[in-house]
Amino acid sequence: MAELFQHIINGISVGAIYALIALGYTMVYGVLKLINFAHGDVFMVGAMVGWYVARWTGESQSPSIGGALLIALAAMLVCGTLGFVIERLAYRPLRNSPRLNSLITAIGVSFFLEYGGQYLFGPNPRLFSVLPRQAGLHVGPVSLGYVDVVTLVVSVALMIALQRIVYHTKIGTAMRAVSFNSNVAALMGVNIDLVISFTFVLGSVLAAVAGILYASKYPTVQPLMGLMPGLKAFVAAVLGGIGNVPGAMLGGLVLGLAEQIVSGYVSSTWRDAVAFGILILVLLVRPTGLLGRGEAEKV
Amino acid sequence: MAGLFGGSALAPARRALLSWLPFVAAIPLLWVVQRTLAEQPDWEYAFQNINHIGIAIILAVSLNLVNGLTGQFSIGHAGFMAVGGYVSAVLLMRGPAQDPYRLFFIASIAAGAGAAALAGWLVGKPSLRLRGDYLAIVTLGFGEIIRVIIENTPLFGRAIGLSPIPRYADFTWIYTAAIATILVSKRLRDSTHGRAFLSVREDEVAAEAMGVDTTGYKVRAFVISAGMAGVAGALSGSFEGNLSPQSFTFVRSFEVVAMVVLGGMGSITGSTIAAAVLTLLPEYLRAVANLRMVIYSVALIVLMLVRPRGLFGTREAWELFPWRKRRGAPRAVELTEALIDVRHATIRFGGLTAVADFSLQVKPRELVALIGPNGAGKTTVFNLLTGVYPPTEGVILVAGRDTRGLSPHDIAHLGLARTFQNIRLFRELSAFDNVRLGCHHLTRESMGAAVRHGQLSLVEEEWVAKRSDELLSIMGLLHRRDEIAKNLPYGEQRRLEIARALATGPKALLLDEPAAGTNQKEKTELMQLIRGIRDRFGVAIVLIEHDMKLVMGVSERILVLDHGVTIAQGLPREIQTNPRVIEAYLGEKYAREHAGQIAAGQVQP
Amino acid sequence: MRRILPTLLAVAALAACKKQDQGSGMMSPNATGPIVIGEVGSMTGTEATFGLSSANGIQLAIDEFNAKGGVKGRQLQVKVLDDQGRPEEAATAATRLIASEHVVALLGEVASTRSMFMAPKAQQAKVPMVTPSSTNPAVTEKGDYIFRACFIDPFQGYVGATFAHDNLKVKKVAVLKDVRNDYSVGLAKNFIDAFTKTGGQIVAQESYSNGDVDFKAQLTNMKAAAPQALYVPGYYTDVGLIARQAREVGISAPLIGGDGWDSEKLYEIGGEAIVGSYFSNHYSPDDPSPRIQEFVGKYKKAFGGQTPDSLAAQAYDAAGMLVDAMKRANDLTGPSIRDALAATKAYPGVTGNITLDQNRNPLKPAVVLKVGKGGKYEFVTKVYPEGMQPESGSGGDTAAGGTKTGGNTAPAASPGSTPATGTAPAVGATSSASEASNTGQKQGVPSAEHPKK
Repeated sequence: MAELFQHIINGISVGAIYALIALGYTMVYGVLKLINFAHGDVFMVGAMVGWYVARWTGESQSPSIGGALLIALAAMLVCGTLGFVIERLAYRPLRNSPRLNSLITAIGVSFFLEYGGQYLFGPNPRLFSVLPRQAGLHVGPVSLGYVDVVTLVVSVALMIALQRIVYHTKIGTAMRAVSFNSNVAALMGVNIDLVISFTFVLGSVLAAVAGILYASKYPTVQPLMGLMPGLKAFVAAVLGGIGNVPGAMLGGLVLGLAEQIVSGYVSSTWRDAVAFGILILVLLVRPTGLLGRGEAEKV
Repeated sequence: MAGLFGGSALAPARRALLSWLPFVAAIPLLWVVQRTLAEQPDWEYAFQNINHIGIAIILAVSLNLVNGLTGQFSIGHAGFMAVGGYVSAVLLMRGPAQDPYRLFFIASIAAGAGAAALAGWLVGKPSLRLRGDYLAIVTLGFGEIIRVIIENTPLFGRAIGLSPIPRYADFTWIYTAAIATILVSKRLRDSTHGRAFLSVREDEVAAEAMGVDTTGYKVRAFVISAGMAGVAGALSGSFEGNLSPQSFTFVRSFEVVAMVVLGGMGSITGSTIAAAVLTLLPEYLRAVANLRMVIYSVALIVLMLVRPRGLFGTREAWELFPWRKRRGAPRAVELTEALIDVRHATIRFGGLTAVADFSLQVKPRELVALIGPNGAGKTTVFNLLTGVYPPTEGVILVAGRDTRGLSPHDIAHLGLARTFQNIRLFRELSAFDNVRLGCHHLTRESMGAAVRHGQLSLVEEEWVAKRSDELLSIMGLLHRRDEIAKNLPYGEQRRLEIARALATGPKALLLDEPAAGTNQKEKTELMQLIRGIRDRFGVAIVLIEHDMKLVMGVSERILVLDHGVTIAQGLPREIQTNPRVIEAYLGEKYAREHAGQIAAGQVQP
Repeated sequence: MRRILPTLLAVAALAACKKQDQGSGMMSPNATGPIVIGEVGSMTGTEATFGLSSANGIQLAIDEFNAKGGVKGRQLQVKVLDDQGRPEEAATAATRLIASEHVVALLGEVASTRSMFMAPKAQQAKVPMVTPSSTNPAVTEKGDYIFRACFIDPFQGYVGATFAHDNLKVKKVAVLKDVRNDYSVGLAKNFIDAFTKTGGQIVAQESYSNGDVDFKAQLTNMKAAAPQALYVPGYYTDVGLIARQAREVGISAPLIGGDGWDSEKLYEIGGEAIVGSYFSNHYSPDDPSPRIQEFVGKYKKAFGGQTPDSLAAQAYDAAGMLVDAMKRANDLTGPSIRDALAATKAYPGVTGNITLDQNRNPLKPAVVLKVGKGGKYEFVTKVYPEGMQPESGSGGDTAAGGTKTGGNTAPAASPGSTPATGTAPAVGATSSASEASNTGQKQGVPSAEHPKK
């Protein structure tokens, strides 16, 4: 029984990270109807930046909260810029092309980041040390690592912040307008390019934080680390209802839990299949996801 | 002897021979190359590359059928390749030690292809009703699940893989398969089934309305493509002598997708050449080893930005897949019975009632108009009739059959055709092809017949072409025959849409605002056209229009809708003077302007 | 037809210009010019240190031989290809080296799975292949042109099991294996067989896939079984993380592993969590034997002060063994080198004297190392296979006659006690020698039977 609780804790902890990444996917899909496959690699870049800066400032030797914050900010800055640049150079020119082309380009960008990372960084995993090493909580037989606590707190805070932005600010409203109908939004005076860029930057910033948290939890970084979490976060976004912000959060948590339960009670070799199985189930049974709204095509 | 193969008695034989000739001629050629070059040790590395290209060609051309031709995003192709590869490898490894005539080998390939095709069916059937990106993700998911299953199955060697696999596959085998794939694809594409695939890509809604079973065609494309990928997997396994599940990740699927896109979606030539280029590129860039994948990805991005249509765009004629039709000929209809019989149909979307208690009977050869303000529900009525939405309440009968549960293509087959408010032509296809697609649901040839150029296939192709030309000529579009639909001027596009609808051989034609955007002169021509169509083709016509001149000039009966409710029905003169209609729609000005004419009993505005 | 013909022509044209340069390795035994040896390794990918260390070891050996005049008056050259850690790539690389570069022999690979993909290519082309560090027995079974320079897993599993039972005195062990590679799967099985024979109990068995980062689920389950030790026969990248997460989940038992742990990155990734754990390996750089120290010195000098890990040492020996065979061979054709290799006897490697048995595997000892403070490896004991005398001059081990455990921490093998584990760890087939002798530890191939299938 104790294991069940432990599995649940583990699941929520990783689910929160999936949720952070999923938010980026869901927002970009909302405004552009594009699956940004490179998003998982932006997440990786966030972790990498964290690693480099930590070494540079000596944080990795003597981690502290202040240092960690600094590093997180640095990662957010770099990733935000990266997201902006990717959109500008690789996606904007293809906005009026068939969607499959954008998909291919996204994959090209993803490969570029992964293999470029391998070239620059080397393929070996490096140890990641940013957060101070504190003892975790032990409640009976269940343990909650320090990193897990930080992850939960930070994720929740960021999600609340995102909710505020999307639902209570002008630019957030603009984002939602563009996600409903970009042509009409443009006619209403919304600067589509600005909104899209903003969406990318926002998503990338969240991915950066997710990268730092993830790398703190499984403390190695390597250039291909974004592949699987990226895909899984995407599944989480779909599960929650793609284009739906609270949905992405819910989807992340559910996916994290499901993965841990299956790994624990069936076998970890089926872990990846869980994500994809959920994906297929959702799309066949309830394509709009748990919280999504339906979209009827006008004939 | 009238020529070596002349004479009508030998015609079928000659045709069969011609159809198989390229294939049959190629094999000895391949065998010669095999003997002279492929088996030289000096050439072994070069042929390793050549064979990799051959496999890639099979994968790319088969995926092109789904992604390029039918326009469905599938990124799980590696999964089908894996299924074919593993099933055949397992058989081969348990097969007889000696297989001098390679019979067992052939059987194992067939088994692999069959298993892959089955997998394609299992994946496709539930997934293909999803659109666009969703389908892409589901196929990616299935591809990954297949890989995970393989990694967990002892029979398949689990995560470690299978080795050694008897190495029977060589240049001859691989390129025979590649040529076969190309040939089958080409022949299908050039037939009516290929047009059907393309129509699904271009505009599913319109394709359905023209009688194409879109889901059925998507599944077929999927299954055939999966089977071919299975062949590629089987050959690859037997060529390398080993299989490992890490070779079948989604990265592999993406590589194949890239080939299809780079080559130009729908173009077989493009897929083939792109397969060669993208297979060789990493090999040549091996020299810059560490940067190899980086350069590859940049090249991909740049290609997408600079030439997104790929090498060949959509250039290449139709590619079709004949398939045996299992339905009967359209049923003949008595002249007196109602072609369209709607009884108290209501449709609600959530809380909104779009159409309430709508009833309409349309007899053969009738000219009925449906008018009303915007948002009245007119197009919704059309959608109800053609099966796009099922009614929430009420019954709809077309040609005497209850349409509940029928999909749009079934209803089209019953004899109902339509045009669309926003013109839904197959924009990238020529006018000729658009109309030919209209004829599709009347053809009966199978896909197999198309591939082997069977008698029925050739006859039907000719018939379709002739009929299409006739229709184009009647519509005054013959001079535009080979023009791409999207390049036609607006008025001609509208006429083309009508031509396409007529090609389906309907008993009733639904025209949705055919005069929208046309000028006075064109409207007059249109009026004549509509009457002419009714007279010549004997179809009933139901018309949605806002131009009262047109409506009054053409209709025999008019129905007026307002906010989903039928507020009047009757002869044009009655409608013109109906106070409710005037208030809701026509307006006082119209009534005043035409008061005199109406009083005089002239129905003309 | 019109469309197919140009395509065929295009492909033919491409084929014509694809013919690669001829390799510079000469097949003819009478030619002059450098002798080319091929090497396949994982220079990139997650186990890159394996490939890089091995490449260093090989390079060092080749340079030494070249300085002494090469072989048969010709210099040696190594052509290295990276397989990125992927088995199919290893096979492709092997084909390329054989067909294009015309290498006279192949060195590689480290990972058993990749070696097994390479081996059929070498065997078919009659090019001798020596794997420096693949320990799965199935590798040399691929054919008589395939050789290895290290011990095999039935022995290694036995070493781990015996160590756990005798030194750590644990009765309950949980096993966590990597299903994605033959090495881990095979070694786990060998360990389990050997350990259960000692009367120990395997309380839990879990698996993971190479490259995973999250082991919490498996570790949580294992914790519930209350193991006294964890046997984790995986690669260093995963083991480091496993150790960390084990501690996070609350498991304090030590970990035991195999030679896949050997990398400087183990401690870098595992940190404090891995300190106090043990693993079996091919050699210890702290071994005071002059031969080993000389090698360590040379290596440090050549590679910027780095201490050679066992991958480097094994590769050094494999290359040395190969060149030694080439010297003894009549000429440099495949069959001749092969025969010379098969006859290798007492080749003085730094990882031990190498004599190949009829399955082309050497009889060699293993060491057990402990990960000490700061990641420094501490020698614990050296274990010999049955019938093998420790070499004179090699320190740190105990008396000859096949007693089980060496020096420091060996309470178990007190003289007179007959360890119950005197049987061969392999597939039931126990040789008579193992039954008779109750102090021998078995390699697994003492006699005609080959253990692993």
